[in-house]
Amino acid sequence: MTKINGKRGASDILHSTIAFIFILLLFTFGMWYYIYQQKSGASVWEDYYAKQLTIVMNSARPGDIIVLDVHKATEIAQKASVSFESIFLISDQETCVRLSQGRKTCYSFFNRVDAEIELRTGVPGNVIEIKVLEEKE
Amino acid sequence: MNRKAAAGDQTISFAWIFMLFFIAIMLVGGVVLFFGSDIDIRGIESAQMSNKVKDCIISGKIDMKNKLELEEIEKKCGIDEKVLTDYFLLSISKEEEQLIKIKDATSCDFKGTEDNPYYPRCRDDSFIFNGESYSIKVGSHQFSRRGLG
Repeated sequence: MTKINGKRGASDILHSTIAFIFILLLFTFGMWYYIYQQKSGASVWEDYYAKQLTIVMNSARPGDIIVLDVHKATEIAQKASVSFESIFLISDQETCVRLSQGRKTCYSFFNRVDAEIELRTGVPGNVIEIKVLEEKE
Repeated sequence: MNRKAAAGDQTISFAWIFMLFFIAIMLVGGVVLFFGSDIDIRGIESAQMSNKVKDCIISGKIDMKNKLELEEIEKKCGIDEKVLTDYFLLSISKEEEQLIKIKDATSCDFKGTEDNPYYPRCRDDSFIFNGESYSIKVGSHQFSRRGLG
């Protein structure tokens, strides 16, 4: 049996217990946050759509109209209460996709063009229509 | 608490923290195994860039008689200068003479490091136009960026 030398020993045990509890809480919160972020696969799908849009934008020419199926993205965004208008953003040579609150994934494209995005629902799935424009100077 | 007990207590703490790290690594490993690794499009964008430069040369938009400037590539070929310098390696040569070099594209030739995910994915193209041979070497080292927003 451990012998505790007076008040100092008791205080040491208290401090180490508090430190352990703090580390445990930090760990639990970190793991919970990580799993919460991953459970919908939001980061994976953000990465997928950002890269797909980049490939499209790199080979696009002004005047092109490109339609992409984004049904999966809208499903994930709806579950995460992200408004449909803020899912896809193409500006400043970057394609950004947001499928979770407060986080987004971006990827740069080298082709100097601009684009306007319009989300159309129920055609029969959800799609985005990208109108490729001349770059604004 | 006596010294032996304190040493034992520290050993247990170490094992306990190690166990937390082990659980974290297993959990992250499980997620990575389930979702797979990131999709890699660096090879595709290198090919796209190479084709864009090739089209630009063949259509005569840039003057291939002199050394090339970045500004010329941006304005005449429609390739963004910032994206090019931030995420790409590029080398254009005509008849063995290097006309432009953005970063050191020779790193594309280090075959031994191809398995390294941080190694750029490259594309080599050679063609003959108007009786002169051209060589384009493009590499991409871009990764997607996830952040607040």
